[in-house]
Amino acid sequence: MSNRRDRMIAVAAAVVVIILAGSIVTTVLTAERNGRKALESLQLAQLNQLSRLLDGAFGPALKSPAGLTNPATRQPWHLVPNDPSDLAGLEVLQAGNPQARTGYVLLDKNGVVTDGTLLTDPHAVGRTLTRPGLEGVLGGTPSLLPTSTNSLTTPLPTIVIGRPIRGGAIGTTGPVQGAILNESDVAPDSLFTQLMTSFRRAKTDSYSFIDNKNVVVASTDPSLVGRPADPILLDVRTGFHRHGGTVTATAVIPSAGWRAVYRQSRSEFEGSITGPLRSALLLLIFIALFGAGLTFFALVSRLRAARQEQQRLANINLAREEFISIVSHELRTPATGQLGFLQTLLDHWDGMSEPERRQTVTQAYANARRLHALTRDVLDTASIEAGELPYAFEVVDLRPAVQVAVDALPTPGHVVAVSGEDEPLLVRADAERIQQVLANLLDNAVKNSPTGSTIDLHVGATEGQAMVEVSDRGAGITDDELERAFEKFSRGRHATVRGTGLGLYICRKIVDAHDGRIWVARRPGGGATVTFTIPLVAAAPEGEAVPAGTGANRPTTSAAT
Amino acid sequence: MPAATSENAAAASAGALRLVVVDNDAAVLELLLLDLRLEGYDVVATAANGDDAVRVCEEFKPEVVVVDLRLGPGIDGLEVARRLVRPRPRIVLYTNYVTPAVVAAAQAAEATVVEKGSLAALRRAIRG
Repeated sequence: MSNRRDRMIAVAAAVVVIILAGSIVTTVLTAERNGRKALESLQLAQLNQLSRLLDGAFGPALKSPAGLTNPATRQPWHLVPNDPSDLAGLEVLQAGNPQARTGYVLLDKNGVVTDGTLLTDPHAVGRTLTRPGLEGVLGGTPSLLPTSTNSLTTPLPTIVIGRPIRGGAIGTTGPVQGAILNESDVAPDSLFTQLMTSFRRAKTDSYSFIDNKNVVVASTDPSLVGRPADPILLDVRTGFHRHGGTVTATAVIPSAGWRAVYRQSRSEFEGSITGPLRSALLLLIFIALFGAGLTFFALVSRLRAARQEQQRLANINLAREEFISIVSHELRTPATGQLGFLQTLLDHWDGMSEPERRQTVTQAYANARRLHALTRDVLDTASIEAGELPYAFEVVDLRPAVQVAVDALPTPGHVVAVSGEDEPLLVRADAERIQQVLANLLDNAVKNSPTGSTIDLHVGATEGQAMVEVSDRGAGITDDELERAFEKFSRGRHATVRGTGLGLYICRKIVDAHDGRIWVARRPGGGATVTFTIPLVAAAPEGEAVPAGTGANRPTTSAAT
Repeated sequence: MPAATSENAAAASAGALRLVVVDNDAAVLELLLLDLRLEGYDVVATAANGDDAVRVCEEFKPEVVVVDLRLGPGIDGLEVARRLVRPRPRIVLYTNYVTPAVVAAAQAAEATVVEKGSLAALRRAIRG
């Protein structure tokens, strides 16, 4: 039942964790998508702003009539090399833009340079200028010439606003007579470059301008200028687009016939949004996993505790059944023995000799004693388990107590050899319980050793302790028995008569209650030695009797052999 | 009772039943030896374990074997009953453990089960 509930709890916890993780992932992905959209809109708006700025600059400049005629003479340009009035007109234009680092150039209809301001090469006049896009201007179309290093008024690369000069007073009608070029450098510190660069905000982003021939005319990446544009940049759709690991935004600059293309690695572009969100996601997942782990371990430990409790109860139950089985058998043996000897006596009284009658009564008595002792062991164990074994402590001399126990033991088949000095051994003890311990140890020695062998009983003092050793000459004990000798139901395998396995357990409990120790060891030369110690007391307090402990009024446990 | 006793005792002198008694408890052996002798039976041998029981029975060829079920290490009383086939003695399983399983096994081995504690029941089983 509790197992089933535990399983339900585990399943519920797992479901909660899954729902939680799912909602976290969904929330984060939604936030990521929204953030990306916002970022894309922002980027596109910036690009459009840049494009409008440029369109607002290039458009009027390309359409402007200023400079299509000579501003100094208000006459058409002469467009012949080194014409002084043309030069004067160009100087007027140049003076209108005093900060400019680049100048104006006049070409005739064949593209030959006729005059210019800020010319870097004095021999340029009279030479034919070649420059991409120039043919369009000479064909009659005002054009923005793409970036080129073939500049006349600066050593820097330039873009050029090129306008055709036509015949007529205002230079706007009639056939093309020549062209006026206004160079504008795109060096890193030029206004145009600074404008482009000011829009950059990351490592991998770039702004490129592509003309209608798909050539990169200007770019924040100088290596691209003058080359055919990357296929990604050729996506002519305006707006924001993704191309694999790259994002692009495209806007048009109508006045220049250019497209402005913003380009950036997708991971970097989205990094500002996805980075923190991914971190948050990882953190949340970690927290969720941690929580799930904690829950899991709590459940596991709870299940384990439950299983251990179940096992413990099963063990108790098993021990109880074993106890009932052992006790019922052990009680039965002396009971049937007693019954049998008495029945024989009754049935054959007249046919039996006097010694036979005596022997039969003795055996019936031994069985009755054993039955009594076993009953007491069982009851004492129950009392010990309940913590109710009573003790009546007094000062006792252990030496005569030992002799009482030996005398009370019916051991016709064994010799008990008592050794030790004659000094009194005063201990604080319950005389009856000590008799019980001694009787149990002697009884065990009798059971564990062959008939006719000697049981050694040594009494002495060591380090403030009274010590009693009982040694038998039996088959000895195994390591396992050494370890378990004092446990409940632990029974030696070599005993001629099996007991309840309660004797040594009770002995240990009694010795413990006397603040003493009890242990078992192999006897050198075979057999086993059980030793117990009890703290000595200095002397008997005045007026207090020192009983030797009488086993007479309480039968001791003994063998039925 | 005394009448029955003297009757059996009289029978004993004229060709008493020959018995082997098997028990690993020395006190039980002593009791049965005494009682069955006084009942007029001839207990020709005793054994304290199953293997010895089979051996002495083969040697003495008793008419009745009284055997305990649990005999310590080695074969148990039922196994002793199964092994004694030629000549087949009457077998009395004298035990503290009378359970349905033991009774069924004893029946299969053609042994009579007597619960320990009643000498009268044992004597009846031996008489057959």
